Amino acid sequence: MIYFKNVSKIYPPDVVAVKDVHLKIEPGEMVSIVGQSGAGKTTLVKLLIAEERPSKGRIQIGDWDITNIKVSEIPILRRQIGVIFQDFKLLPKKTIFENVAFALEVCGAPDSRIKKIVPQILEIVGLEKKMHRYPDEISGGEQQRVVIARSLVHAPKIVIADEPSGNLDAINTDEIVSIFKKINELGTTVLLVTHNREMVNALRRRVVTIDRGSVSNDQAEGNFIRQ
Amino acid sequence: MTRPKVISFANKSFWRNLGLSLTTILILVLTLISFNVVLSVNAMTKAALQLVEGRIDISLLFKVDAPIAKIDELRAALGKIPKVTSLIFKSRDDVLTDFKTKHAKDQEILSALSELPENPLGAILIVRAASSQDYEVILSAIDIPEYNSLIEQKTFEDHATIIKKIGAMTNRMQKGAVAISVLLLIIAFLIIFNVIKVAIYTHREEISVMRLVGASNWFIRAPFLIEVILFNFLAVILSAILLYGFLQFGDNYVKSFFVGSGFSLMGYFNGNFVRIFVGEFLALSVLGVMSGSLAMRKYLKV
Ligand SMILES: Nc1ncnc2c1ncn2[C@@H]1O[C@H](COP(=O)(O)OP(=O)(O)OP(=O)(O)O)[C@@H](O)[C@H]1O
Ligand SMILES: [Mg+2]
Repeated sequence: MIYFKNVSKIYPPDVVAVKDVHLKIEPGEMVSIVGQSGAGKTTLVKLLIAEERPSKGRIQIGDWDITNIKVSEIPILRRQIGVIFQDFKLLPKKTIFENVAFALEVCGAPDSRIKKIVPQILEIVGLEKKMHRYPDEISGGEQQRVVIARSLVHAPKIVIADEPSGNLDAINTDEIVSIFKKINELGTTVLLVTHNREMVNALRRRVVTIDRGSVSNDQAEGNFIRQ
Repeated sequence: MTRPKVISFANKSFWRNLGLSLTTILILVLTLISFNVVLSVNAMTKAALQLVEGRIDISLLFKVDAPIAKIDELRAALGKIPKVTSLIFKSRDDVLTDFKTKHAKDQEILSALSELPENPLGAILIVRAASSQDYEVILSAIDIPEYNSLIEQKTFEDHATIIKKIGAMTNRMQKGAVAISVLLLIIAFLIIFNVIKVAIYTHREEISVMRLVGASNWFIRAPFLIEVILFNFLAVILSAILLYGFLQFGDNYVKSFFVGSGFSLMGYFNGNFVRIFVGEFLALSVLGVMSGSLAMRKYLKV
């Protein structure tokens, strides 16, 4: 369960990015988070992975109160949350396989486990045949899928995608959406932050609308709401 | 945590910024060379002082007419000073015998001597102490008019000036070398700081991915520190190779200067090998880890 309890975030000196957000997301849910540019969506994501600290309120993941999480505990948190940001951050000098393996390597996984897990995960996103290519040798949509694969290596309980369909065309968007559906069907909580109305409407799942830092609408089976 | 992997990351970073890596090692090597000069000067000073001190004594040359009773009094007084380790007394006759044996082959001197109505040589008292500093105490203890009137000459001043000269010369050399070492240490500190800064910059994408996927802080930091320690290790080895290369021929000069005492720089460095080189490595590593941590605190945000 993800629980924002009256959370506010003020960037110094006085930018109110998130204001009194009260939000509960149950395990296994798939939620779209929508809202205008600058509404505070990315800030919510950063609060969840402890890249930013809330100025007010509490944040809880399961029984774990991460409001004042210790620096040394942040890595443990991040291994339980797979994050996909719009700027992919694939390492250009590593192959697809190596990019995904990197996430395991730097967390100290043994080679034998890396060799076993990485191809399995690349299969979920349909890239097992291209795993020896470099990022600039595959399409934008494929790159996006590599980033999704990388976010899955620790078998996270929660996957958060911030604008995963950024500048992809409709066909690629469908592919990405079906991958997230697949991930969600495996029991993972999925949070999709997006501007893409087709994507939201096609999902027919819960939609949370953020307006100027606050939750303005929360529909169980919603549509993208025009601001 | 898999250690080999952390090391391989550090290793890659080393090669990626090869130019900067080499400059860093060069500065570290120069620092170590100048530090080894300090050590050498130190060791040579000690050896030189020991050499001189071993030969030091005070000779009190008594006047020909100094009364024996008074001389005995002075000997007794000196014998009570705890710093005096030995007293050798040569009576006027002893001194004359010594003189004659010394010049046994010089007939002219011997005949000139025999023409004199009486023994022209005064008695001698040779005073020895454990260390050169003690002589000042001893000399001042007997520096009273009653005794001074007996004594023709005290032969200590010469030795004292030699010791002072050695001390002053080595002091100057040492101060210079220490100043250069400190300067180089500061440069080394700054350069390591910079190396880590550049390494963080070149690795910024890897680092941001590492963070995102939950790599531990240790795993993110360790490669940089290992890189620093790798630099130090190479620098110590290189400086040691250069030092021994220099000693191959330079040490002969030192040996010939200390002939008789058996001192050699090679012997000094061999005898203290572990202490010196492991010590230098540890000292540099402390410096490097401090400098590197500072750079990381500044440029590596969690
Ligand atoms: N590090 C920061 N320092 C100061 N202000 C910030 C910072 N990050 C974001 N903001 C501000 O906080 C507000 C919310 O930003 P946020 O990135 O959360 O919006 P968003 O909903 O993700 O927008 P978009 O849809 O364009 O990605 C904006 O006004 C933004 O300018
Ligand atoms: Mg955003």
